[in-house]
Amino acid sequence: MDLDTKIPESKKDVTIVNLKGRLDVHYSTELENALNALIDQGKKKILLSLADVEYLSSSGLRVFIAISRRLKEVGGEFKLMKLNETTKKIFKIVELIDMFDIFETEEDAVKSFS
Amino acid sequence: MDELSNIKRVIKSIELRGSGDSLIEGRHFVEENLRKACISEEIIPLVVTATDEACANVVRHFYKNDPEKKYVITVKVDPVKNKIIVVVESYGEEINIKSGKRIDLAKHFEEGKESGLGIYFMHTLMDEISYHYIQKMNVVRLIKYIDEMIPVEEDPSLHYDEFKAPDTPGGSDRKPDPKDGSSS
Repeated sequence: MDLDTKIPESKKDVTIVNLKGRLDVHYSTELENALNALIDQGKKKILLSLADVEYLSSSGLRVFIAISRRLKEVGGEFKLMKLNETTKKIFKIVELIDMFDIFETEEDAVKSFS
Repeated sequence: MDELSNIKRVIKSIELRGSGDSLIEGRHFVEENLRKACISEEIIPLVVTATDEACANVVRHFYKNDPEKKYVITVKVDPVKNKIIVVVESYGEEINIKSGKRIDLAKHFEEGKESGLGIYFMHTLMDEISYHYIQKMNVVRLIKYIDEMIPVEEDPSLHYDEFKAPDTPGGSDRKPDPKDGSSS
């Protein structure tokens, strides 16, 4: 799986990953492998953009938890940004808002990395 | 209440194969029928997601992605009782999710646990969930109230018939048989 990634000018050690489509069982497994590959390459600060995520299942959440935990173990950071209305609603109802560092804008999110 | 008055009665069922790609079909089926019933776009994704979690549990953990096995999703929108009922029926041995409880997500997250999230999603996205095992059929019943009405405590097993499409055997006209202890 190829991830749509970019490195912000202001912090070159941050990797922004733009997620697209449905974060269901199948996509989540591929996503987890791809994110783990990024970490294996030495990327320790990962920012996921959820603006283009149409659907989020518990499989997607499981990936967020697993990647967040792995990054914490290696001294890295994991953050989310640009939740669209559907994703935001799911996050609120299942009480995920406080579980992750979530930002409205890329600028704020990138700034928040150490 | 104007919005509620537009809601239409819907009872639809679909039988799907137990392969992973059926999950997309199941989501589309639920979404399409809730839209036909004029359910708010605010509520639709919640019900679709909860249904998908129930189906994913069947397909992945119980059927092991076996396309020869089948499961049924029934969507019922009841504009009189102001509720959406989704029932997922699968066949075989009893699925041990009756003991599924809401997890403490913060603790779960802290400990890096990954199991139980699907059930957590179902419980938080819907207003009521019940599990039944009736004549070798696992039945997961998900309810979402359309307005703010307070759910009335009732015996969930007595509702089982109302999930069946009218043209299916044991359909909505059939009353529960108290002798068999179920309503199938």
